[in-house]
Amino acid sequence: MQDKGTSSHSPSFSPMLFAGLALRPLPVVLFRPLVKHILKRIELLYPEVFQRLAPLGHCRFLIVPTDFHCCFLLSLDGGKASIEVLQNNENLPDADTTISGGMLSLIQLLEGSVDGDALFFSREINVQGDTEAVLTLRNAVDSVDISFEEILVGRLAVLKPLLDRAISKAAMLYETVHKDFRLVHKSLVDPLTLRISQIDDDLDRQEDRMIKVEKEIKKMKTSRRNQTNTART
Amino acid sequence: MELVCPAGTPSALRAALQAGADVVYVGFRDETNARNFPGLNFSPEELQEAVALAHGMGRQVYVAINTYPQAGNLAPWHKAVDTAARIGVDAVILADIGLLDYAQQNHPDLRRHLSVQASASNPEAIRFYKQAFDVQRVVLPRVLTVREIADLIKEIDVETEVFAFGGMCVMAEGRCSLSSYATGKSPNMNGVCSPASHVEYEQRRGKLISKLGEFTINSFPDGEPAGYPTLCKGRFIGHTGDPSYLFEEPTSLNVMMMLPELIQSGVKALKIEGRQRGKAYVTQVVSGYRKAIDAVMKGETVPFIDMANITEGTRSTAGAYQKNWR
Amino acid sequence: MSENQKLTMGPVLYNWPAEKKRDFYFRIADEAPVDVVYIGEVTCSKRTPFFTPYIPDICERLEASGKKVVLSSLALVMSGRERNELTDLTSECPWEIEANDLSAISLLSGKPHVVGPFVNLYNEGTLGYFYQNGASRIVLPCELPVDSIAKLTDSAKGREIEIQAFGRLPLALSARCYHARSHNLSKDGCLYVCDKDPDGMDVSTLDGDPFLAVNGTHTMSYTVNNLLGELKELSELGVTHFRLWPHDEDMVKIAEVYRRTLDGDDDIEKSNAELEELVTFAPFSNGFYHAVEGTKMVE
Repeated sequence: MQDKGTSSHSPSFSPMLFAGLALRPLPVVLFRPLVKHILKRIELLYPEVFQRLAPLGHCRFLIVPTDFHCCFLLSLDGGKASIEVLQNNENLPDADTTISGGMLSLIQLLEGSVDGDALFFSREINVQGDTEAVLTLRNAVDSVDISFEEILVGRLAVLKPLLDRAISKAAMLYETVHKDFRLVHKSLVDPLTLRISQIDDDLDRQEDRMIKVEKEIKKMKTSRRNQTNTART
Repeated sequence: MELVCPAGTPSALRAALQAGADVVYVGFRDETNARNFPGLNFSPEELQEAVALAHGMGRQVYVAINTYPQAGNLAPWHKAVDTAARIGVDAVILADIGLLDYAQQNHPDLRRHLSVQASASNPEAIRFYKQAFDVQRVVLPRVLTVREIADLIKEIDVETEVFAFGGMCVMAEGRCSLSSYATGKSPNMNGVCSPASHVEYEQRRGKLISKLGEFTINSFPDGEPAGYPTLCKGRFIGHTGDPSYLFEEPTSLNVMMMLPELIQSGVKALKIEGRQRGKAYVTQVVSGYRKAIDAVMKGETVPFIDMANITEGTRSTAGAYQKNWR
Repeated sequence: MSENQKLTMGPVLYNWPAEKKRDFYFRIADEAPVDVVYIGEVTCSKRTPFFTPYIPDICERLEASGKKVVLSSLALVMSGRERNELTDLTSECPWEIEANDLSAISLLSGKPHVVGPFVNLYNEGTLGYFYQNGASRIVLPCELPVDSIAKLTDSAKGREIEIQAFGRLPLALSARCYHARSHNLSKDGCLYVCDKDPDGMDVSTLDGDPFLAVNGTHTMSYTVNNLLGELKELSELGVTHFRLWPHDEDMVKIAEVYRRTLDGDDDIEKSNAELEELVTFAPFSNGFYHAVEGTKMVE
C-alpha cells in the first residue's frame, strides 16, 4: 500500500510501482482498448451511476495512480462518459479535478470496498480542484455494487476460473514484493525524507517568526485603538 | 434498543440491512434533506424499492425531510412528505414547525419524528412538539450529557433517539449559520454544511491546506491524519495568537463504551450519522454496533471494536455526552 | 419612510460588568432615539446573577423615558436551573418576553410575546403558526435573504416583523464555551474570561485573515452587519422594527444615524461614513441580505 508521509507529487513507493516499472516498456496504446472496454462495461452494467453523474454537466477528471506510468482522463458530458489513457510524463491536460493515489486504493474505491473518506483522512488519496465533482463521482460510483471482476469477465462463466487463477498468482507475487519493498523503502527513501523535513523545518521556523511579528503588529494596533478610545472619552 | 443507520444510496441501504440495521434512514435527492450532497440520496422509485426490501426483511425505513422550507416555495417539502406517505415509509423526520403542521394536517397516520435539526434540548420544548404536532419520537441534540438525557427521559412521554457514532456538530444542531456566513449555503436552508462546492485542497510545501470559500480552515503536515474542512473543526488563531482547534478537533463521535449507560437511561434508539459516507463505512459501523448492542443486551461487557480507520482525523470522542467536553 | 418604523436596541450579548451594563442602559434610556429596548441574559446563564438586581431600576428608567421594555430569554436552555429560571420568568414577568428557545415559546403559548432571532423561522408556514400561538412580533434569523424576508412580510399582513440591522451577528450556539476553551479552562471553572472581550474575541484563520468572533458559548460574525443602505427597501417591504445589537461603541450616536435614515435622510454615503468613524473594531457586511456569503459587503 502507499506509505503515509510521501508527497503526492512523487510516485508512491508501493509494490504497484514495481509492477508499473515492469510494464513501462509497454506503450500506452496497448492499454487504451482495455480501459475503454472497462468503461463501456461499467456503462452497460451500472447505468444508474451515470444518471447520478448527469447533473455535473461537462467535467474532466484526471485520475493519477501514483505508482503507475499511465494516468486516465475521464470526461463527462451530461452523463455521457469517455476516457483517455495518457503517459505520465506527457504534458498532462487541464482537468477540473485531479485524484491521485495508489492504484490499488483507486480500484478499491471504484468497488466501494473501502471508505473514500477514510482513504482521504489517512492521506492515501489526494484530491485537488473541484471537490464537489469528486464527491459526486464517489457518491455515484458508490450507489451501486460494482464488481471489478464482473466488469472484466461479465457473465462468461468459462473465463472465471482463469481469472481467479490469475488473481491469486498476482496476489502471491504481491505478497512477496510487499515484504522486500519495506526494506528497500527504508534504505532508499528515509535519508531523502530526512533532508526534506529539515528544509521544511527551516521554513516552519520562518513562518513562526512571521506569526510572532504579526502578533506584535496586532498588539501595537490594539494599544493604538485603546489610546484613541481614551482620547475620545 | 433500535439501531438506526444511514444510507445515502441504495447500495448503502442494502449494506446497512445486511449488517444488521433495524432501521435505515434516507433522504430524497433534493434540498429537502440535510445531506443534500451531489450524487447522493434516493429518487422516489429507489425509495419504493428500498421500503419493499426492508419491509420484506422485517425492518423499517425512515425518511429525513429535515431542512427548513424556503419562504414562498413550500411545494418541494410538501411533495416530499406526500411521496413518503404514499410509499408507506415508517416515519418522516422533520424539523420545521410549518412542515410538521402540514404533515399532521394532511397525513395524520404518518409517524412524525422530530429531527435533531430542531434542537429540542429540554422537556418544555419537547412537550411543545408533542402537544402541537403529536411527534412520536425526538432525536436529541448533541448538547446533553448522558445524565441529563436520563433525567430528561423521565419528564417526557415521547420516544428518544440519540446519536451514537459519526460526524459531530460542535454547535447546537440547526442553530448554526457559520456555513452560510462563509459560503452562502447553510444546513437549514440548503441542506449542506461547509459544502464541497466551496472546498478546495491545496498542496503547499509538504502540507495539505484546506480552504472553505475564501478562508483557510486547516493545514495538515504530511503524515498527519486529515479532516473535512468543516469550519468548526478547523485550526484558528484566537487571543493567544497561536493556531489551535478553537472549537473542536477533527474527530468523530463514538459512544460505544457508554452503551450500558445509554441503554439504562431509557433511550429508545441509537443513530449512526453518515448518509454521505460510502457503503464500506456503513458496513463497518453498523456491524460493529450490532455486535456491541447484542452483547450489552445479553449482559456482557462492551466488546472492543476498532473504528479508528473510519473516524475523522482517526480520532473519536464521547463528545457532549460527557460533561468535561463543555 | 416614516416614524412607523421602530428602532430597537437588542439585549447586550457580551459579558460586560454589571455596572457598565446598567450605565449603558441608563444612557440609552436618557439619550438614544430607540422605541424598544430588550434586556436580559441571552448567552450564558452563569452570567445572570450579577446583572439581575439592576433590571427593575433600568426598566423603570427606560419606561419613564417612553421606551418599551422586553425581557429576553436564554437562547440555549439545558440545565434544571436554567429551566426553573425560564419558568419563573415566563409566569411572573410584568414585561413582555422575547422567547429565544422553543421552551420559552411553549411556556408562553397563548400569551403575547416576541419570537426572538434565535428561533428557527424560515417560511410562512412557521410564521403563521407563531402568530397564531400568540406572537405579537417576530424577529427574523440573521441568514434570511431579502426574497425570504419579502415573502414573510407579505404573509405577516401588517403584523410586526423585526430584522437585525446593525452589529455582529450571533451565528451559532453551543453547549461548549469557546472562551473558556481558548483559555484552557473548563466551562464550570471559566473564571468569566469572556469579560475580557466586550465585543467578542476575534478569531482569525491560519493565514491571519479575521473570520469570526467568540462570545462565550456563542460564535459571532467578525464583520459588523450593517443594513443602513437596505433600510428603505426593508421598510417598503413591511418590516416594522429594526434591531441594533449593542457594542462597546457609542450606541447613542449609532442609533441617531439609523433613526435619521429611517426618517428619510437618504444620504447613505455620508451616514455610512459616519458609522465607519463610530465603529472601529471590524468592517461592515450585509451579505446574508443579498443572498451571498454573510461575510461580504455588497455595495
